Amino acid sequence: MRIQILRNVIALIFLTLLANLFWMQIVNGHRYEKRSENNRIRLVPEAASRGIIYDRSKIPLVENKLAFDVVAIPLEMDKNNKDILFSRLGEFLEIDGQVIADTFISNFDFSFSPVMLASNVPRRTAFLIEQEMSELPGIFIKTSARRKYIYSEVAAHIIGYIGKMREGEYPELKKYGYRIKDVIGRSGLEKSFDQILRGNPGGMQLEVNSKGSIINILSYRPPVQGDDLHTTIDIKLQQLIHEEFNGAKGAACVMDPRNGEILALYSSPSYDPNILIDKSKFKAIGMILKDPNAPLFNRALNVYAPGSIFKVVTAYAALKDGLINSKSSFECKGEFRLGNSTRNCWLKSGHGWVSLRKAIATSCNVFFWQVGLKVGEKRISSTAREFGLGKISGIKLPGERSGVVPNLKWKRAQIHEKWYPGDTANFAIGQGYLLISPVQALKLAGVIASGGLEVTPCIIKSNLRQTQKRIADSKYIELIQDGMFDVVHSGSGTGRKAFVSGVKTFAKTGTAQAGKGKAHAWFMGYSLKNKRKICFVVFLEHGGHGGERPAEIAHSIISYYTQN
Amino acid sequence: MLSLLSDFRKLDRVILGVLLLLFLFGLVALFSASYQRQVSTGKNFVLNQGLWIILGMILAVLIARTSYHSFLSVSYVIFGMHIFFLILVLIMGKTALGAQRWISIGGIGFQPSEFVKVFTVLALARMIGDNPSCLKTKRGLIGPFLIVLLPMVLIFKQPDLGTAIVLLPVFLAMIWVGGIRLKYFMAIILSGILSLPLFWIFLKEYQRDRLMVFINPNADPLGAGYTINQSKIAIGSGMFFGKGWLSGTQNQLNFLPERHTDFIFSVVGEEWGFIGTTLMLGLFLLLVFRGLKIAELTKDVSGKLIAIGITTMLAIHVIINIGMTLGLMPVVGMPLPFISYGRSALTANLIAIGFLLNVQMNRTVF
Repeated sequence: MRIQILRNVIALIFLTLLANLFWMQIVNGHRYEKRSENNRIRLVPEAASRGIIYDRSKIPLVENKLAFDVVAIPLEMDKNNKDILFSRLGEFLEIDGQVIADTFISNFDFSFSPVMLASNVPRRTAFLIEQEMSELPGIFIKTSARRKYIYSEVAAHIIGYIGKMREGEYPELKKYGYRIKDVIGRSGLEKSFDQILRGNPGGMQLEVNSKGSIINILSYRPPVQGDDLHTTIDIKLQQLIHEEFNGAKGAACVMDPRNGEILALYSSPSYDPNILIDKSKFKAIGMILKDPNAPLFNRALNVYAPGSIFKVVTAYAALKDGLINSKSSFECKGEFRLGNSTRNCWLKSGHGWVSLRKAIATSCNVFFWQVGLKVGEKRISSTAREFGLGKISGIKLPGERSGVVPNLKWKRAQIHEKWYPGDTANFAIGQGYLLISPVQALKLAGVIASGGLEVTPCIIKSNLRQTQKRIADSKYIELIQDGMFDVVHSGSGTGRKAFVSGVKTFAKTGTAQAGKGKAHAWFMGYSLKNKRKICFVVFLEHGGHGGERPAEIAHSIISYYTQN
Repeated sequence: MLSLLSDFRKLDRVILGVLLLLFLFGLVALFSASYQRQVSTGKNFVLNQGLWIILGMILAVLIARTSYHSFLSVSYVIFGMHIFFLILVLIMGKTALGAQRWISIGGIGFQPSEFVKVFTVLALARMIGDNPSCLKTKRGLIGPFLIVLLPMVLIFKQPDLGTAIVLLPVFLAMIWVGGIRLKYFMAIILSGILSLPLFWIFLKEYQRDRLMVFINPNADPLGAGYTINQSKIAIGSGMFFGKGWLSGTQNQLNFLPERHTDFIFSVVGEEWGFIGTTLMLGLFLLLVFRGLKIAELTKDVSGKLIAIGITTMLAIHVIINIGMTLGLMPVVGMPLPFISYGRSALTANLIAIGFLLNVQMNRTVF
């Protein structure tokens, strides 16, 4: 009897063990299986070299330079003499041994994978360390491809730069196959075409034992180099614009209106991306980040009041609606009364009786106030949108802003106020709430240069021919072109400084009141020589009159273009 | 020699059959568990263990031949000898894993603590068999208590917590079947539970660590908790069919420490899966049931109690060892009977089997 009780107790305990085995091996088996795989399999990634970015004539704009890194392989190090090793290495690198020790700890991964101690050391230092290798057990020189931006400041805003992924970005990027600690594009084409440029990292899948020693190479996948990027940029033109700006705040863009290819896109002041990718230059990086002129900012994609360059939109809306024609003229006495207030034309003495052609050539405000009030806010606004203002241009660069094309509804929703006739008058001459980017202005120039086609700017060469949609009636565009021709070619034109002999240039100046300080200066248009055409926009932030410095810069661009 | 063979025929077939299967299973598992070690040290673990199994079996048969009544008459002397060995271990023992367990006699090292368990069972069986009514009075219980406490304290001092603990359930099972009064039995169990905190004070630092780690293995995943975690991973990852013989990654890549001795069951779990673990557990249960059956059929009190004591001892070994590999019990040095590599434990367990077979063969059946 008592033996049976004893037997039942023992049987019950055995059953408990069996139930536990069932729980661990059958119910949770997969979980333990995964943990056992994690125990034995290690991945050692091998980075792919990034694709090269070229200009339109296949001139490389970046290169992958051979760089020398100092790494430690923990497995090969003498564990007891680490401090001596680091301080000896410190003498070569001219850094404190303790700093190296700290770097070692923070970069440590596995006992067999190299730990980065110092990256991009000078070639001479690398050779010295290589010679003393026997004195530095576990220390190795590893070569790697380092990004170099050949034209540094000249094309910084187009190309951008790269950097290590930040922790917060990982969850979002994980979906696209990125891995933690990956280097990713931070700005410019490096960012927007990162998926193409980065290639596919390869790596080794290793089987290791409990000590971390390699038992087996389970698989190896060589890295796949990133694809190259062929841009439409003309780096020499870009260089010329860089020199012309000489640090003045602003932007300039040049485009071929036949296919939308961007030949130059420059934002000033610029920065040297080579500094930003070199962590050792943290002081210089700090200077760039703290610069009050915000050099990292791409002004070609930011939005500003356009001023008079917008008058071409008002003119087209009026022509299209049949409110004016080539013969219509309005009198400018130098001032204009609207309700209780009086507005002055920029020419106090007045332009007299002006036709559309003369109004564009002389940029007469009174003409466009009157025309604008006739057309009304609604039609100006819809025409501006048709011409690509108020929305992003689709140029594949990060950070583009859409700007503002106001109308009655917009004002009610955003400002919570009624739309006044004064708003329409401001709108008609490109003032008030209207904000556009230099790239959008370039699109506008494209519409006029092409005689009314939509030109979508692109920065990457493509075999696909753009089908250009007609968005404006050519016969009205031609009337505007006439006025823009006179801006440069007639004696009373506002943009005569852009004149280059033998070249037909059609342009419009803009001088937009913008808060305190000098007005924003714009110069937008296109040039024609034989059958070649280019569109350009030059913008100077608080740069004064559009017919001055911007027209001069445009002159250089046009001269370059006609010589090449 | 011939008589040895003829005696062999009289031995219990079930026990011999189960043992044979366990030996085979054990050697196959040991081959895999010691594979890496054998490559690096050149020592042939399977051959050694096989030899000890054969020697142990011969010893068991020899023990089974001479009626246990003769052994009972010298049981106090043998018990006393082993107590002397235990004292010797404390004075001049070899240190292994922070504990002194070994002494060497005539050049052969052995662990008296493994053998003393068997002879404690014998001494207890004799004492209760000589005077079964001693379990009916408080005074009468003093003798049996002293017999079990003496080796327990000495083993505990080594310190070998696991082996010391085994004696307690063996003692309880023997006095239970021996006919102790229910109220005394309850009182003993209750006072045992109440004195647990006191017990903590006597533990060494590393034993406390082990117990703490048992409560929460993740508290120190690379230190004391490492073994438990790796063992659980090994067993769990074996899933239903196991990873296959010699293919356990936890085993072959050295993630599992002590795998040819105390943690050999983890290797079985990893390489043979649920099928293997169930089979092994089933074989042990069969052995235990058979042992209890022998006890049931034995009328003579001493014989019955020898069978009970030995069967319980084997069962407790199995339970503690497997429980330990599953993380259900703290890690104490406790080999899996007949499977783990180790001469002393194997020989002691086969001596125990010898006495069990002896009882089956020589019992007085009224």
